[in-house]
Amino acid sequence: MAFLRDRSEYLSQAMQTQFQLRNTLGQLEWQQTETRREVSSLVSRSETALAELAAALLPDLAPATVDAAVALTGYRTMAVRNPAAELQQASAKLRAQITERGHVIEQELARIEAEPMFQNRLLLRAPRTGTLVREIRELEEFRQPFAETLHKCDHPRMQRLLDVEYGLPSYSVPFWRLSYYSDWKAADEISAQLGGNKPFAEVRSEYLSARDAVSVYDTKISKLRTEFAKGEEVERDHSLFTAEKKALADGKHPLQEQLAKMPEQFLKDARIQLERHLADLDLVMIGDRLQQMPQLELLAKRYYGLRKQTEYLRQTSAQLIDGPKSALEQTMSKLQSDINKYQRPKYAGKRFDLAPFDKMKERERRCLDMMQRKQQAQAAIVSFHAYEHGRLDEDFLWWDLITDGQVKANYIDEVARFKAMHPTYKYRRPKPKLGDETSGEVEFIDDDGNAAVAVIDTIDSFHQHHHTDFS
Amino acid sequence: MLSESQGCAVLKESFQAAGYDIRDGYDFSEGVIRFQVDGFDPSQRVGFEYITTEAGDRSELSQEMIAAIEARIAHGELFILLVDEYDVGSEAELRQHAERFLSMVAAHRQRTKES
Repeated sequence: MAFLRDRSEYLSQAMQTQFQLRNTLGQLEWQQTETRREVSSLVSRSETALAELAAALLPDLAPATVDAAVALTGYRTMAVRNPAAELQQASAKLRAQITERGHVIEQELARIEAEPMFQNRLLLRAPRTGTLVREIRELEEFRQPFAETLHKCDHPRMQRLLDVEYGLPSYSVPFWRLSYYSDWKAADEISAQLGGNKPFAEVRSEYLSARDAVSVYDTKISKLRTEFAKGEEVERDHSLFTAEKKALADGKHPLQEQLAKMPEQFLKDARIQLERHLADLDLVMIGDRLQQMPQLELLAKRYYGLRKQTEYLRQTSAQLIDGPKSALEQTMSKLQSDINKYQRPKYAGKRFDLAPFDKMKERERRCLDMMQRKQQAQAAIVSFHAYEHGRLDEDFLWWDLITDGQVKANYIDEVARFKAMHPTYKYRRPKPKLGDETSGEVEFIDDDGNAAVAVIDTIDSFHQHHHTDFS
Repeated sequence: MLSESQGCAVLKESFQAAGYDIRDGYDFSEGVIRFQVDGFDPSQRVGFEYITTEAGDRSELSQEMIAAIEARIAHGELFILLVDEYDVGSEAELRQHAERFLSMVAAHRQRTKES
Protein backbone atom coordinates (compact mmCIF):
# COMPACT_ATOMS: atom_id res chain seq x y z
CA MET A 1 0.00 0.00 0.00
CA ALA A 2 1.33 3.42 -1.03
CA PHE A 3 2.40 5.91 1.60
CA LEU A 4 0.37 9.12 1.06
CA ARG A 5 1.81 12.64 1.39
CA ASP A 6 0.25 16.04 1.92
CA ARG A 7 -0.30 18.56 -0.87
CA SER A 8 2.74 20.76 -0.30
CA GLU A 9 5.08 17.79 -0.55
CA TYR A 10 3.28 16.61 -3.70
CA LEU A 11 3.55 20.03 -5.37
CA SER A 12 7.18 20.40 -4.40
CA GLN A 13 7.95 16.98 -5.89
CA ALA A 14 5.90 17.81 -9.02
CA MET A 15 7.75 21.07 -9.64
CA GLN A 16 11.12 19.48 -9.12
CA THR A 17 10.24 16.72 -11.59
CA GLN A 18 8.93 19.29 -14.01
CA PHE A 19 12.21 21.17 -13.81
CA GLN A 20 14.19 18.02 -14.57
CA LEU A 21 11.90 17.05 -17.46
CA ARG A 22 12.15 20.54 -18.94
CA ASN A 23 15.90 20.30 -18.82
CA THR A 24 15.85 16.92 -20.59
CA LEU A 25 13.40 18.25 -23.16
CA GLY A 26 15.79 21.10 -23.90
CA GLN A 27 18.58 18.59 -24.51
CA LEU A 28 16.34 16.59 -26.84
CA GLU A 29 15.50 19.71 -28.79
CA TRP A 30 19.16 20.57 -29.14
CA GLN A 31 19.83 17.03 -30.35
CA GLN A 32 17.07 17.35 -32.92
CA THR A 33 18.58 20.55 -34.27
CA GLU A 34 22.02 19.04 -34.41
CA THR A 35 20.74 16.01 -36.30
CA ARG A 36 18.90 18.20 -38.81
CA ARG A 37 22.14 20.02 -39.49
CA GLU A 38 24.03 16.76 -39.98
CA VAL A 39 21.30 15.35 -42.25
CA SER A 40 21.42 18.50 -44.32
CA SER A 41 25.19 18.17 -44.66
CA LEU A 42 24.87 14.50 -45.69
CA VAL A 43 22.20 15.36 -48.26
CA SER A 44 24.47 18.00 -49.72
CA ARG A 45 27.42 15.56 -49.87
CA SER A 46 25.22 12.93 -51.43
CA GLU A 47 24.05 15.37 -54.13
CA THR A 48 27.66 16.16 -54.93
CA ALA A 49 28.51 12.45 -55.03
CA LEU A 50 25.57 11.83 -57.37
CA ALA A 51 26.68 14.63 -59.69
CA GLU A 52 30.21 13.21 -59.73
CA LEU A 53 28.89 9.73 -60.46
CA ALA A 54 26.75 11.02 -63.35
CA ALA A 55 29.73 13.00 -64.69
CA ALA A 56 31.91 9.89 -64.56
CA LEU A 57 29.24 7.79 -66.25
CA LEU A 58 28.76 10.43 -68.94
CA PRO A 59 32.08 12.23 -69.48
CA ASP A 60 30.96 13.38 -72.94
CA LEU A 61 28.17 12.90 -75.45
CA ALA A 62 30.02 10.65 -77.86
CA PRO A 63 27.59 7.95 -79.08
CA ALA A 64 29.74 5.21 -77.58
CA THR A 65 29.77 6.98 -74.19
CA VAL A 66 26.00 7.41 -74.22
CA ASP A 67 25.52 3.75 -75.19
CA ALA A 68 27.82 2.63 -72.39
CA ALA A 69 25.97 4.78 -69.83
CA VAL A 70 22.63 3.39 -70.96
CA ALA A 71 23.92 -0.17 -70.84
CA LEU A 72 25.34 0.31 -67.37
CA THR A 73 22.50 2.20 -65.73
CA GLY A 74 19.56 0.79 -67.70
CA TYR A 75 18.35 4.32 -68.39
CA ARG A 76 16.34 3.46 -71.50
CA THR A 77 14.95 6.96 -71.96
CA MET A 78 18.43 8.15 -72.83
CA ALA A 79 18.64 5.51 -75.53
CA VAL A 80 15.30 6.59 -77.02
CA ARG A 81 16.00 10.31 -76.74
CA ASN A 82 19.70 10.10 -77.31
CA PRO A 83 21.31 13.39 -76.23
CA ALA A 84 24.12 12.90 -78.74
CA ALA A 85 21.62 12.70 -81.60
CA GLU A 86 19.60 15.58 -80.20
CA LEU A 87 22.73 17.69 -79.91
CA GLN A 88 23.57 16.92 -83.52
CA GLN A 89 20.07 17.92 -84.67
CA ALA A 90 19.97 21.09 -82.58
CA SER A 91 23.46 22.10 -83.74
CA ALA A 92 22.50 21.59 -87.39
CA LYS A 93 19.35 23.67 -86.88
CA LEU A 94 21.28 26.49 -85.22
CA ARG A 95 23.94 26.42 -87.93
CA ALA A 96 21.19 26.81 -90.52
CA GLN A 97 19.79 29.74 -88.53
CA ILE A 98 23.22 31.38 -88.49
CA THR A 99 23.58 30.98 -92.24
CA GLU A 100 20.07 32.35 -92.78
CA ARG A 101 20.82 35.30 -90.51
CA GLY A 102 23.91 36.06 -92.61
CA HIS A 103 21.74 36.19 -95.73
CA VAL A 104 19.16 38.44 -94.07
CA ILE A 105 21.89 40.84 -92.96
CA GLU A 106 23.30 41.03 -96.47
CA GLN A 107 19.85 41.67 -97.95
CA GLU A 108 19.01 44.35 -95.41
CA LEU A 109 22.32 46.14 -95.90
CA ALA A 110 21.83 46.12 -99.68
CA ARG A 111 18.27 47.46 -99.29
CA ILE A 112 19.34 50.28 -96.97
CA GLU A 113 22.32 51.24 -99.07
CA ALA A 114 20.03 51.60 -102.10
CA GLU A 115 17.78 54.09 -100.31
CA PRO A 116 18.32 57.78 -101.24
CA MET A 117 17.79 58.83 -97.65
CA PHE A 118 20.82 56.70 -96.73
CA GLN A 119 22.90 57.52 -99.81
CA ASN A 120 22.38 61.28 -99.26
CA ARG A 121 22.71 61.08 -95.49
CA LEU A 122 25.45 63.69 -95.25
CA LEU A 123 23.84 66.01 -97.75
CA LEU A 124 20.54 65.82 -95.86
CA ARG A 125 21.48 65.45 -92.23
CA ALA A 126 25.05 66.63 -91.66
CA PRO A 127 25.06 68.86 -88.56
CA ARG A 128 24.78 72.57 -89.52
CA THR A 129 25.22 71.99 -93.29
CA GLY A 130 22.63 69.30 -94.11
CA THR A 131 19.74 70.58 -96.21
CA LEU A 132 17.16 69.20 -93.83
CA VAL A 133 19.00 70.72 -90.87
CA ARG A 134 19.13 74.11 -92.55
CA GLU A 135 15.51 74.04 -93.67
CA ILE A 136 14.33 73.22 -90.18
CA ARG A 137 16.47 75.96 -88.70
CA GLU A 138 15.17 78.53 -91.19
CA LEU A 139 11.56 77.60 -90.59
CA GLU A 140 12.13 77.83 -86.84
CA GLU A 141 13.56 81.30 -87.30
CA PHE A 142 10.54 82.37 -89.39
CA ARG A 143 8.19 80.89 -86.84
CA GLN A 144 9.85 82.63 -83.89
CA PRO A 145 8.17 86.14 -84.04
CA PHE A 146 4.72 84.62 -84.49
CA ALA A 147 5.29 82.27 -81.60
CA GLU A 148 6.37 85.27 -79.55
CA THR A 149 3.10 87.09 -80.34
CA LEU A 150 1.15 84.03 -79.22
CA HIS A 151 3.22 83.88 -76.08
CA LYS A 152 2.50 87.54 -75.30
CA CYS A 153 -1.24 86.98 -75.80
CA ASP A 154 -1.15 84.04 -73.44
CA HIS A 155 -3.97 84.82 -71.00
CA PRO A 156 -6.57 82.59 -69.27
CA ARG A 157 -9.37 84.68 -70.86
CA MET A 158 -7.90 84.98 -74.36
CA GLN A 159 -9.90 82.16 -75.91
CA ARG A 160 -13.11 83.56 -74.38
CA LEU A 161 -12.39 87.00 -75.83
CA LEU A 162 -12.00 85.39 -79.26
CA ASP A 163 -15.17 83.35 -78.80
CA VAL A 164 -17.37 86.32 -77.74
CA GLU A 165 -15.73 88.47 -80.46
CA TYR A 166 -14.53 91.06 -78.02
CA GLY A 167 -13.39 94.25 -79.78
CA LEU A 168 -15.67 93.65 -82.74
CA PRO A 169 -19.06 95.32 -83.32
CA SER A 170 -20.64 91.94 -82.85
CA TYR A 171 -19.56 91.78 -79.16
CA SER A 172 -22.88 91.57 -77.35
CA VAL A 173 -22.24 91.23 -73.61
CA PRO A 174 -24.28 94.00 -71.88
CA PHE A 175 -22.45 96.45 -69.65
CA TRP A 176 -24.42 95.61 -66.51
CA ARG A 177 -23.02 92.12 -66.44
CA LEU A 178 -19.78 91.60 -64.56
CA SER A 179 -18.28 89.50 -67.42
CA TYR A 180 -18.35 92.70 -69.50
CA TYR A 181 -15.83 94.20 -67.09
CA SER A 182 -13.83 91.00 -66.76
CA ASP A 183 -13.52 90.89 -70.57
CA TRP A 184 -12.52 94.53 -70.57
CA LYS A 185 -9.85 93.97 -67.90
CA ALA A 186 -8.44 90.90 -69.69
CA ALA A 187 -8.30 92.77 -73.01
CA ASP A 188 -6.40 95.61 -71.32
CA GLU A 189 -3.90 93.17 -69.83
CA ILE A 190 -3.30 91.39 -73.15
CA SER A 191 -2.81 94.71 -74.99
CA ALA A 192 -0.32 95.76 -72.32
CA GLN A 193 1.57 92.46 -72.73
CA LEU A 194 1.84 93.19 -76.44
CA GLY A 195 3.44 96.49 -75.56
CA GLY A 196 1.02 99.13 -76.71
CA ASN A 197 -2.46 100.51 -76.48
CA LYS A 198 -3.75 98.89 -79.61
CA PRO A 199 -7.50 98.44 -79.91
CA PHE A 200 -8.36 94.86 -79.15
CA ALA A 201 -9.66 94.36 -82.70
CA GLU A 202 -6.06 94.81 -83.88
CA VAL A 203 -4.72 92.56 -81.15
CA ARG A 204 -7.24 89.95 -82.18
CA SER A 205 -6.27 90.17 -85.84
CA GLU A 206 -2.55 90.00 -85.01
CA TYR A 207 -3.12 87.02 -82.75
CA LEU A 208 -5.15 85.08 -85.31
CA SER A 209 -2.58 85.72 -88.06
CA ALA A 210 0.22 84.58 -85.76
CA ARG A 211 -1.74 81.49 -84.80
CA ASP A 212 -2.28 80.56 -88.45
CA ALA A 213 1.35 81.19 -89.30
CA VAL A 214 2.62 79.11 -86.37
CA SER A 215 0.29 76.30 -87.41
CA VAL A 216 1.63 76.35 -90.97
CA TYR A 217 5.26 76.42 -89.82
CA ASP A 218 4.65 73.66 -87.28
CA THR A 219 3.23 71.40 -89.98
CA LYS A 220 6.22 72.03 -92.24
CA ILE A 221 8.76 71.62 -89.43
CA SER A 222 7.07 68.46 -88.20
CA LYS A 223 7.20 66.95 -91.69
CA LEU A 224 10.92 67.75 -92.00
CA ARG A 225 11.66 66.39 -88.56
CA THR A 226 9.85 63.15 -89.37
CA GLU A 227 11.94 62.85 -92.52
CA PHE A 228 15.08 63.56 -90.48
CA ALA A 229 14.15 60.96 -87.84
CA LYS A 230 13.40 58.36 -90.50
CA GLY A 231 16.82 58.95 -92.01
CA GLU A 232 18.47 58.61 -88.62
CA GLU A 233 16.62 55.35 -88.05
CA VAL A 234 17.85 53.99 -91.38
CA GLU A 235 21.42 54.95 -90.47
CA ARG A 236 21.01 53.29 -87.08
CA ASP A 237 19.72 50.10 -88.69
CA HIS A 238 22.66 50.15 -91.08
CA SER A 239 25.10 50.45 -88.17
CA LEU A 240 23.42 47.58 -86.33
CA PHE A 241 23.46 45.29 -89.37
CA THR A 242 27.08 46.19 -90.06
CA ALA A 243 28.03 45.40 -86.47
CA GLU A 244 26.14 42.10 -86.64
CA LYS A 245 27.88 41.22 -89.92
CA LYS A 246 31.25 41.87 -88.30
CA ALA A 247 30.31 39.75 -85.30
CA LEU A 248 29.42 36.89 -87.64
CA ALA A 249 32.71 37.27 -89.48
CA ASP A 250 34.62 37.28 -86.17
CA GLY A 251 32.66 34.31 -84.84
CA LYS A 252 31.28 36.43 -81.97
CA HIS A 253 27.61 36.53 -82.95
CA PRO A 254 25.25 35.50 -80.09
CA LEU A 255 23.95 32.60 -82.18
CA GLN A 256 27.52 31.39 -82.74
CA GLU A 257 28.22 31.69 -79.01
CA GLN A 258 25.07 29.71 -78.35
CA LEU A 259 26.27 27.05 -80.79
CA ALA A 260 29.63 26.88 -79.07
CA LYS A 261 27.99 26.36 -75.70
CA MET A 262 25.53 23.80 -76.96
CA PRO A 263 27.59 20.61 -76.35
CA GLU A 264 28.34 21.73 -72.82
CA GLN A 265 24.67 22.57 -72.19
CA PHE A 266 23.40 19.31 -73.65
CA LEU A 267 25.94 17.36 -71.61
CA LYS A 268 24.84 19.18 -68.49
CA ASP A 269 21.17 18.47 -69.20
CA ALA A 270 21.88 14.81 -69.97
CA ARG A 271 23.78 14.44 -66.72
CA ILE A 272 20.91 15.99 -64.79
CA GLN A 273 18.52 13.48 -66.37
CA LEU A 274 20.90 10.67 -65.53
CA GLU A 275 21.17 11.93 -61.95
CA ARG A 276 17.38 11.79 -61.63
CA HIS A 277 17.39 8.25 -62.90
CA LEU A 278 20.18 7.22 -60.53
CA ALA A 279 18.46 8.90 -57.59
CA ASP A 280 15.39 6.74 -58.18
CA LEU A 281 17.42 3.63 -58.83
CA ASP A 282 18.52 1.07 -56.25
CA LEU A 283 22.20 0.84 -57.19
CA VAL A 284 22.24 -2.73 -55.96
CA MET A 285 20.36 -3.59 -59.17
CA ILE A 286 23.40 -2.61 -61.25
CA GLY A 287 26.01 -3.62 -58.68
CA ASP A 288 27.26 -6.56 -60.78
CA ARG A 289 27.80 -4.34 -63.80
CA LEU A 290 29.52 -1.65 -61.77
CA GLN A 291 31.90 -4.24 -60.34
CA GLN A 292 33.49 -4.47 -63.79
CA MET A 293 34.50 -0.81 -63.56
CA PRO A 294 36.24 -0.17 -60.24
CA GLN A 295 36.48 3.62 -60.63
CA LEU A 296 32.77 3.96 -61.30
CA GLU A 297 31.95 1.43 -58.64
CA LEU A 298 33.81 3.44 -56.05
CA LEU A 299 31.86 6.61 -56.95
CA ALA A 300 28.61 4.62 -56.88
CA LYS A 301 29.51 3.19 -53.47
CA ARG A 302 30.24 6.65 -52.17
CA TYR A 303 26.86 7.94 -53.35
CA TYR A 304 25.06 4.83 -52.10
CA GLY A 305 26.86 5.00 -48.75
CA LEU A 306 25.96 8.65 -48.30
CA ARG A 307 22.33 7.85 -49.08
CA LYS A 308 22.46 5.12 -46.47
CA GLN A 309 24.10 7.45 -43.93
CA THR A 310 21.35 10.01 -44.49
CA GLU A 311 18.60 7.42 -44.17
CA TYR A 312 20.12 5.83 -41.05
CA LEU A 313 20.59 9.18 -39.35
CA ARG A 314 17.01 10.20 -40.08
CA GLN A 315 15.62 6.95 -38.71
CA THR A 316 17.91 7.06 -35.69
CA SER A 317 16.73 10.55 -34.86
CA ALA A 318 13.08 9.66 -35.42
CA GLN A 319 13.30 6.62 -33.15
CA LEU A 320 15.63 7.80 -30.42
CA ILE A 321 14.80 11.51 -30.26
CA ASP A 322 11.51 12.46 -31.92
CA GLY A 323 9.44 9.66 -30.30
CA PRO A 324 10.77 10.10 -26.74
CA LYS A 325 10.54 13.86 -27.05
CA SER A 326 6.88 13.67 -27.97
CA ALA A 327 6.18 11.33 -25.03
CA LEU A 328 8.08 13.60 -22.68
CA GLU A 329 6.09 16.62 -23.89
CA GLN A 330 2.86 14.79 -23.10
CA THR A 331 4.12 13.95 -19.63
CA MET A 332 5.12 17.57 -19.09
CA SER A 333 1.71 18.77 -20.21
CA LYS A 334 -0.10 16.36 -17.90
CA LEU A 335 2.17 17.32 -15.01
CA GLN A 336 1.51 21.02 -15.56
CA SER A 337 -2.24 20.51 -15.62
CA ASP A 338 -2.02 18.46 -12.38
CA ILE A 339 0.01 21.22 -10.73
CA ASN A 340 -2.59 23.80 -11.79
CA LYS A 341 -5.39 21.59 -10.58
CA TYR A 342 -3.99 20.68 -7.16
CA GLN A 343 -2.98 24.23 -6.31
CA ARG A 344 -6.67 25.08 -5.90
CA PRO A 345 -7.84 25.54 -2.28
CA LYS A 346 -10.34 22.70 -2.45
CA TYR A 347 -7.45 20.19 -2.69
CA ALA A 348 -5.68 21.60 0.38
CA GLY A 349 -6.44 18.54 2.48
CA LYS A 350 -5.96 15.92 -0.23
CA ARG A 351 -3.33 13.20 0.26
CA PHE A 352 -1.14 12.14 -2.66
CA ASP A 353 0.68 9.08 -3.82
CA LEU A 354 4.21 10.04 -5.05
CA ALA A 355 4.83 6.80 -6.92
CA PRO A 356 4.00 8.36 -10.35
CA PHE A 357 7.04 10.61 -10.01
CA ASP A 358 9.27 7.56 -9.87
CA LYS A 359 7.76 6.43 -13.17
CA MET A 360 8.36 9.85 -14.67
CA LYS A 361 11.96 9.81 -13.56
CA GLU A 362 12.33 6.35 -15.03
CA ARG A 363 10.91 7.64 -18.34
CA GLU A 364 13.31 10.55 -18.25
CA ARG A 365 16.23 8.21 -17.57
CA ARG A 366 15.23 6.13 -20.60
CA CYS A 367 15.14 9.33 -22.67
CA LEU A 368 18.66 10.18 -21.57
CA ASP A 369 19.80 6.66 -22.44
CA MET A 370 18.28 6.93 -25.90
CA MET A 371 19.85 10.33 -26.38
CA GLN A 372 23.21 8.83 -25.56
CA ARG A 373 22.63 5.96 -28.00
CA LYS A 374 21.63 8.45 -30.67
CA GLN A 375 24.76 10.49 -30.11
CA GLN A 376 26.88 7.38 -30.36
CA ALA A 377 25.11 6.27 -33.57
CA GLN A 378 25.27 9.76 -35.05
CA ALA A 379 28.99 10.05 -34.36
CA ALA A 380 29.59 6.73 -36.11
CA ILE A 381 27.33 7.56 -39.07
CA VAL A 382 28.75 11.02 -39.66
CA SER A 383 32.40 10.03 -39.35
CA PHE A 384 32.15 7.17 -41.85
CA HIS A 385 34.17 7.60 -45.04
CA ALA A 386 35.36 4.11 -45.97
CA TYR A 387 32.99 3.67 -48.89
CA GLU A 388 35.42 1.43 -50.75
CA HIS A 389 34.70 -1.34 -48.23
CA GLY A 390 30.98 -1.38 -49.03
CA ARG A 391 29.31 -3.67 -51.50
CA LEU A 392 26.48 -3.03 -53.88
CA ASP A 393 24.58 -6.23 -53.40
CA GLU A 394 21.53 -7.29 -51.48
CA ASP A 395 23.42 -9.26 -48.90
CA PHE A 396 25.50 -6.48 -47.52
CA LEU A 397 24.47 -4.54 -44.45
CA TRP A 398 25.85 -1.02 -44.77
CA TRP A 399 24.79 -0.21 -41.22
CA ASP A 400 27.43 -2.52 -39.80
CA LEU A 401 30.09 -1.19 -42.12
CA ILE A 402 29.20 2.40 -41.29
CA THR A 403 29.13 1.81 -37.52
CA ASP A 404 31.93 -0.78 -37.57
CA GLY A 405 29.39 -3.21 -36.11
CA GLN A 406 29.48 -1.45 -32.79
CA VAL A 407 26.04 0.11 -32.64
CA LYS A 408 22.84 -1.84 -32.11
CA ALA A 409 20.01 -0.59 -34.29
CA ASN A 410 17.08 -2.97 -34.48
CA TYR A 411 14.91 0.14 -34.52
CA ILE A 412 16.04 0.64 -38.14
CA ASP A 413 13.75 -1.41 -40.38
CA GLU A 414 16.50 -2.45 -42.75
CA VAL A 415 18.73 -3.70 -39.94
CA ALA A 416 15.91 -5.57 -38.19
CA ARG A 417 14.79 -7.19 -41.44
CA PHE A 418 18.30 -8.17 -42.36
CA LYS A 419 18.93 -9.76 -39.01
CA ALA A 420 15.64 -11.60 -39.10
CA MET A 421 16.52 -13.03 -42.47
CA HIS A 422 20.06 -13.90 -41.48
CA PRO A 423 19.95 -15.09 -37.86
CA THR A 424 23.47 -16.48 -37.80
CA TYR A 425 25.07 -13.45 -39.30
CA LYS A 426 28.33 -12.08 -37.94
CA TYR A 427 29.95 -8.78 -38.76
CA ARG A 428 33.53 -9.01 -39.87
CA ARG A 429 35.66 -5.92 -40.16
CA PRO A 430 37.00 -5.31 -43.67
CA LYS A 431 40.50 -6.55 -44.44
CA PRO A 432 43.09 -4.09 -43.18
CA LYS A 433 44.89 -1.88 -45.61
CA LEU A 434 48.62 -1.81 -45.54
CA GLY A 435 49.68 0.23 -42.52
CA ASP A 436 46.22 0.41 -40.99
CA GLU A 437 46.68 -1.32 -37.67
CA THR A 438 43.24 -0.65 -36.31
CA SER A 439 41.50 -2.86 -38.86
CA GLY A 440 41.46 -6.59 -38.55
CA GLU A 441 39.48 -9.71 -38.68
CA VAL A 442 37.55 -8.85 -35.57
CA GLU A 443 34.09 -10.17 -35.02
CA PHE A 444 31.47 -8.24 -33.08
CA ILE A 445 28.52 -9.99 -31.61
CA ASP A 446 25.36 -8.01 -31.17
CA ASP A 447 24.54 -7.98 -27.48
CA ASP A 448 20.79 -7.99 -28.03
CA GLY A 449 21.01 -11.54 -29.33
CA ASN A 450 21.38 -11.06 -33.06
CA ALA A 451 24.74 -11.23 -34.64
CA ALA A 452 25.87 -8.04 -36.31
CA VAL A 453 26.24 -8.77 -39.92
CA ALA A 454 28.48 -7.69 -42.74
CA VAL A 455 29.36 -10.95 -44.34
CA ILE A 456 26.69 -13.52 -44.59
CA ASP A 457 27.31 -16.97 -43.36
CA THR A 458 26.98 -19.55 -46.08
CA ILE A 459 24.42 -21.50 -44.18
CA ASP A 460 22.05 -18.56 -44.14
CA SER A 461 18.82 -19.79 -45.64
CA PHE A 462 18.31 -16.69 -47.73
CA HIS A 463 21.61 -17.21 -49.48
CA GLN A 464 21.02 -20.84 -49.92
CA HIS A 465 18.17 -19.91 -52.16
CA HIS A 466 19.14 -16.59 -53.69
CA HIS A 467 22.82 -15.81 -53.53
CA THR A 468 26.18 -17.45 -53.70
CA ASP A 469 28.69 -14.62 -53.70
CA PHE A 470 29.72 -14.04 -50.08
CA SER A 471 33.21 -12.84 -50.61
CA MET B 1 -12.82 86.45 -52.35
CA LEU B 2 -14.34 89.41 -50.56
CA SER B 3 -16.95 89.05 -47.80
CA GLU B 4 -20.41 90.67 -48.00
CA SER B 5 -19.34 93.63 -45.86
CA GLN B 6 -15.96 94.11 -47.65
CA GLY B 7 -17.57 93.96 -51.11
CA CYS B 8 -20.40 96.33 -50.17
CA ALA B 9 -17.97 98.82 -48.62
CA VAL B 10 -15.84 98.98 -51.79
CA LEU B 11 -18.89 99.40 -54.02
CA LYS B 12 -20.51 102.04 -51.80
CA GLU B 13 -17.31 104.04 -51.73
CA SER B 14 -17.02 103.94 -55.56
CA PHE B 15 -20.67 104.89 -56.07
CA GLN B 16 -20.49 107.73 -53.53
CA ALA B 17 -17.31 108.99 -55.18
CA ALA B 18 -19.29 109.24 -58.42
CA GLY B 19 -21.85 111.42 -56.62
CA TYR B 20 -24.57 108.95 -55.82
CA ASP B 21 -26.50 109.10 -52.56
CA ILE B 22 -26.32 105.44 -51.64
CA ARG B 23 -28.68 103.98 -49.05
CA ASP B 24 -27.77 100.69 -47.45
CA GLY B 25 -30.22 97.79 -47.63
CA TYR B 26 -32.78 99.65 -49.68
CA ASP B 27 -36.12 97.81 -50.01
CA PHE B 28 -36.77 97.82 -53.73
CA SER B 29 -40.29 96.87 -54.74
CA GLU B 30 -41.55 97.47 -58.28
CA GLY B 31 -43.79 94.94 -59.96
CA VAL B 32 -42.25 91.48 -59.72
CA ILE B 33 -38.92 92.89 -58.56
CA ARG B 34 -38.94 92.80 -54.78
CA PHE B 35 -35.64 92.53 -52.91
CA GLN B 36 -33.40 94.42 -50.57
CA VAL B 37 -30.66 96.12 -52.65
CA ASP B 38 -27.26 96.30 -50.88
CA GLY B 39 -26.81 99.92 -52.03
CA PHE B 40 -29.23 102.10 -54.03
CA ASP B 41 -29.76 105.77 -54.87
CA PRO B 42 -33.60 105.95 -55.30
CA SER B 43 -33.53 109.37 -56.95
CA GLN B 44 -30.93 108.39 -59.60
CA ARG B 45 -32.14 104.80 -59.66
CA VAL B 46 -28.58 103.55 -59.57
CA GLY B 47 -27.21 100.93 -57.17
CA PHE B 48 -25.39 97.68 -56.62
CA GLU B 49 -26.01 94.20 -55.32
CA TYR B 50 -23.05 92.16 -54.07
CA ILE B 51 -24.30 88.58 -54.18
CA THR B 52 -22.93 86.33 -51.44
CA THR B 53 -23.95 83.04 -49.92
CA GLU B 54 -23.26 84.52 -46.48
CA ALA B 55 -26.08 87.11 -46.93
CA GLY B 56 -28.52 84.57 -48.35
CA ASP B 57 -28.67 86.47 -51.66
CA ARG B 58 -28.72 83.32 -53.77
CA SER B 59 -32.15 82.31 -52.46
CA GLU B 60 -33.53 85.85 -52.51
CA LEU B 61 -32.40 86.58 -56.10
CA SER B 62 -33.77 83.90 -58.38
CA GLN B 63 -32.73 83.60 -62.03
CA GLU B 64 -36.18 84.90 -62.98
CA MET B 65 -35.77 88.01 -60.84
CA ILE B 66 -32.30 88.68 -62.23
CA ALA B 67 -33.75 88.39 -65.74
CA ALA B 68 -36.48 90.89 -64.82
CA ILE B 69 -33.88 93.32 -63.39
CA GLU B 70 -31.76 92.99 -66.54
CA ALA B 71 -34.81 93.69 -68.69
CA ARG B 72 -35.46 96.92 -66.77
CA ILE B 73 -31.79 97.94 -67.09
CA ALA B 74 -31.89 97.22 -70.82
CA HIS B 75 -34.77 99.68 -71.10
CA GLY B 76 -32.78 102.30 -69.17
CA GLU B 77 -35.26 102.35 -66.29
CA LEU B 78 -32.68 101.62 -63.61
CA PHE B 79 -29.04 100.58 -63.29
CA ILE B 80 -27.94 97.97 -60.77
CA LEU B 81 -24.50 96.38 -60.88
CA LEU B 82 -24.90 92.73 -59.96
CA VAL B 83 -21.64 91.24 -58.69
CA ASP B 84 -21.21 87.61 -57.62
CA GLU B 85 -18.59 87.17 -54.90
CA TYR B 86 -17.04 84.29 -56.88
CA ASP B 87 -16.34 86.57 -59.89
CA VAL B 88 -14.12 89.06 -58.06
CA GLY B 89 -10.61 88.39 -56.81
CA SER B 90 -9.64 91.60 -55.05
CA GLU B 91 -10.84 95.01 -53.84
CA ALA B 92 -8.92 96.75 -56.61
CA GLU B 93 -10.56 94.65 -59.28
CA LEU B 94 -14.02 95.28 -57.81
CA ARG B 95 -13.32 99.00 -57.58
CA GLN B 96 -12.20 99.10 -61.22
CA HIS B 97 -15.33 97.22 -62.34
CA ALA B 98 -17.54 99.61 -60.34
CA GLU B 99 -15.87 102.70 -61.78
CA ARG B 100 -16.18 101.36 -65.33
CA PHE B 101 -19.84 100.52 -64.71
CA LEU B 102 -20.55 104.01 -63.45
CA SER B 103 -18.84 105.55 -66.49
CA MET B 104 -20.94 103.30 -68.74
CA VAL B 105 -24.11 104.45 -66.89
CA ALA B 106 -23.10 108.09 -67.35
CA ALA B 107 -22.40 107.55 -71.05
CA HIS B 108 -25.71 105.73 -71.49
CA ARG B 109 -27.67 108.55 -69.82
CA GLN B 110 -25.82 111.12 -71.91
CA ARG B 111 -26.76 109.28 -75.11
CA THR B 112 -30.39 109.03 -73.93
CA LYS B 113 -30.49 112.74 -73.15
CA GLU B 114 -29.00 113.64 -76.55
CA SER B 115 -31.42 111.49 -78.43
